Amino acid sequence: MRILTLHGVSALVNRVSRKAQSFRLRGTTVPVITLALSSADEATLEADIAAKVQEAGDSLAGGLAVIDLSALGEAPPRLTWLVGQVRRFGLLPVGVIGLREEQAAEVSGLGLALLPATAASARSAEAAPREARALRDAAPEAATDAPVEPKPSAVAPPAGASMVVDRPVRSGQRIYARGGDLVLLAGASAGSELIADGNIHCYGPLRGRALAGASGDQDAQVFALDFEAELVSVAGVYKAFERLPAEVRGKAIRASLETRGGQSQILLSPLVEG
Amino acid sequence: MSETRIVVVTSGKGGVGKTTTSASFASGLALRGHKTAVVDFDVGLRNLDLIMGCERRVVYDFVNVINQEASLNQALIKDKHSENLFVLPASQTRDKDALKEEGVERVLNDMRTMGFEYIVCDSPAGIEHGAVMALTFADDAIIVTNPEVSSVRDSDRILGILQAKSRRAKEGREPVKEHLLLTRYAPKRVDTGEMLSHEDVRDLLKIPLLGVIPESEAVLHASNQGQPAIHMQDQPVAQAYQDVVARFLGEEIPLRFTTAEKRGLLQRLFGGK
Repeated sequence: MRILTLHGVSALVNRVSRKAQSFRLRGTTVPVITLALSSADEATLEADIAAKVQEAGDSLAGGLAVIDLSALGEAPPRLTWLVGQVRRFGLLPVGVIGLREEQAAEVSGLGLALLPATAASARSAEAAPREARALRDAAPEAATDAPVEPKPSAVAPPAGASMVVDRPVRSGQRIYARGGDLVLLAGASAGSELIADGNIHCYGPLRGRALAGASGDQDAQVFALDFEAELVSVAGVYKAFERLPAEVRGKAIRASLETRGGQSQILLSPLVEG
Repeated sequence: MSETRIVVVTSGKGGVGKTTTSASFASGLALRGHKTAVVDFDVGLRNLDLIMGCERRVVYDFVNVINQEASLNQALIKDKHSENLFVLPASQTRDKDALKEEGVERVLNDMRTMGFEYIVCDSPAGIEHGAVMALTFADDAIIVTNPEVSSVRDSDRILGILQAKSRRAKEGREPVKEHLLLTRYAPKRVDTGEMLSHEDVRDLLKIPLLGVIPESEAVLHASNQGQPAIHMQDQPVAQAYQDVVARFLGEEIPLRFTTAEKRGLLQRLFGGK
């Protein structure tokens, strides 16, 4: 049973227009890890979280976390206990999503923000089992830098500089274009891992794993002239290819995220229509 | 005195022909008059001295020199075929942790001052410390690959490590020059689709092809006799290694032994390809 989603959702601080000499108030976006519960049973949660903590090591340490209860059909576990569970990852809990009204007082007592349930959090809860693996791979590097660096969000397109790699990316190599696009001029071998907060563009053969929109940009895409990927992912939703269909193998392909009826999946289409 | 070039012979995967290649390649360079040393980095599993046929003359080894228990002159063994070739054997009794980076660097620098034109480093298999030490100081890398998928994957991996861990990469100098060497190539099995072709492998690894060494029984005989395969007169393997050395030195030589033998007059007239 999967109970945990690690998902980079952007928290948006509202803009305040007021002049001050000693400080500045600015709107900023910071990636946040979401702990989305699909079970309220504390014993089950405890065991599953322990396993996940072991797996994640200290890769999430220092990041911010939001507890998402919006997908939970039953009464949630004790909040003080949940906060302790989040801290086991080294994460700092900052808010709760989807909490019932009777518990609202407890939230502010714990110093947490009561956040409205958003479309993004609802989606991540539904797609949890499919996303978990790709996110686990993409999360560590993104999460490590989370508190210090502003990240792009769905509202602001990625503004970071793109990264251009002119040599082949080899098996076992991992490249992360933080905050922008990743451009590969010489392709990527099987067993390589390509991660970008923006899009991934590949002009040589794409044979590795390509993860676009790694910090949650659902509009990110993967473009490849010679598509032979082992796995593609957009905003954590992934598709693995044990055997590539003949109609995409070696073809010019784009991979994007298609959301239909609340379910997201990777859509492969010809790079040039017609 | 010309500058020293350090050439690592590596692959990631074991059993693909690194030591055979190191021995023949170093011998080939020496036969062409270049002062060459071949160094066995496979500490704990020394094989190079067996293939070079000098195992009974090993007194001191690479680790002794690194630990300054012996001088280079004491440890270097002169090859029986060529005045220009010296073998620095590995230690049988130590493990690879004995290869300290400063020590390896000092020994290689001492060899530079001794006037070696080429230092061929025979890498152990794998991607651990021993293999990393063998490639750290390289100027050139010969990536020995068999025409099969797992070997290609491991070669790809080692190319990535070369880009990350070599001194040239770390110091931001011109990258290590990469050469692909396909060994144990059986054109017949390529034709039947059991083996990847040299075009396939080149396409997968995207590095220049230095040569193709045909699969041959002669390699086994040569090893057993303690003789590098390049010395096996009239054998395709020996000719293929000679071509490899010539290409490495900048000569343009067409590929041979890449098509299945048909034993016809045309075949003989027009050669391999």
